[in-house]
Amino acid sequence: MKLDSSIWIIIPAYNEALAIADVLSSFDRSDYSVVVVDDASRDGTYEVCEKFDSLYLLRHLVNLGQGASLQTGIDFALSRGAKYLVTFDSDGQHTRESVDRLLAPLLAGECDITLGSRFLAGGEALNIPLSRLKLLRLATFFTRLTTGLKITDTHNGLRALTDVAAQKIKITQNRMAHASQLLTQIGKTGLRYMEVPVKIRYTDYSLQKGQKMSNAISILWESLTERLWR
Amino acid sequence: MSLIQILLIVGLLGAFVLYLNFFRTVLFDRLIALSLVAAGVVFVLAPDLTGKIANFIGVGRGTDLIFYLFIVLTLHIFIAIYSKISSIQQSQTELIRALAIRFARLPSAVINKKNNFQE
Repeated sequence: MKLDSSIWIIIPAYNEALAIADVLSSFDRSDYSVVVVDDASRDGTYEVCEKFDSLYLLRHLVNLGQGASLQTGIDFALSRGAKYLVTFDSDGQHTRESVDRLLAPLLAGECDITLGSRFLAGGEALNIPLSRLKLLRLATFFTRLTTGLKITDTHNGLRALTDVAAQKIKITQNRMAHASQLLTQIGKTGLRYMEVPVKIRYTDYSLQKGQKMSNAISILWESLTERLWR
Repeated sequence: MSLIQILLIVGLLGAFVLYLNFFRTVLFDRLIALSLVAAGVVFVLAPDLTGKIANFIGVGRGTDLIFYLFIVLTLHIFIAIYSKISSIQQSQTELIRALAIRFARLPSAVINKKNNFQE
């Protein structure tokens, strides 16, 4: 981890004490700056992160949700002069190699935002349960309808943005609907986006912690009410 | 006076007392609240009155009129409360975010660098 690199990894974390150390270790020798936003975890996640000395560590005093954590991390990284920002999960699903893949098109100036896709040629969803796969297909279909973006995947959390794009995006969906909101904003702002194949590994741990079937309904509900009330 | 009339009047007056206790509003607002409660008491004491008003504006019974008004009013109150909660949530988010950024734990190397500058 570097102090003020132009590339920043933003890791939102909520109750990930068991998994986050491995995630952070994978960035130990990287040339990136890393910021963790602990979303008021109650399992000692913050203390685990404290052991990593070259890390920027932020803490929400009250649990706000993943969307809010990402926005906090983005604001912080931008304030320290980040030029490229990568969002990365803290539960061990994301792989370090994906970061370089996501960054390549940005560094080459081909687009403003790259979105990780498990279902693009070259992408992988290791050990994904069939029920999850079906749910994702449905979610992707729904997202295509509502955002107008031609994407092959949704809600996997792996993305990279340039600073210009990050300044245009404003996540106000504190909870889980932020992923759809981000895509909607890409559509509205006309930022150039590109999907990049990434590898996501499903473990028993991440499956237990991650999105459940029932969450899909609340995400849908959050997205709909967002439209109603704003 | 029937038992239900007594209950309703006690309920209305109780609501007014609660209002005075919880909200430190100006005299004008209190007068509005008072006149609403007073109107309520009048309607409780003279139920025929709502019937007459209902007929006048084209509703069958006084109870129906009260019921319709209640639905519309509740809807307004619900939207007002929801928008209030939303804005509180938003400012809470901004506050917590600002605190998180202000009290970020920086890498020790960054802190050392800063200290060297000061010396």
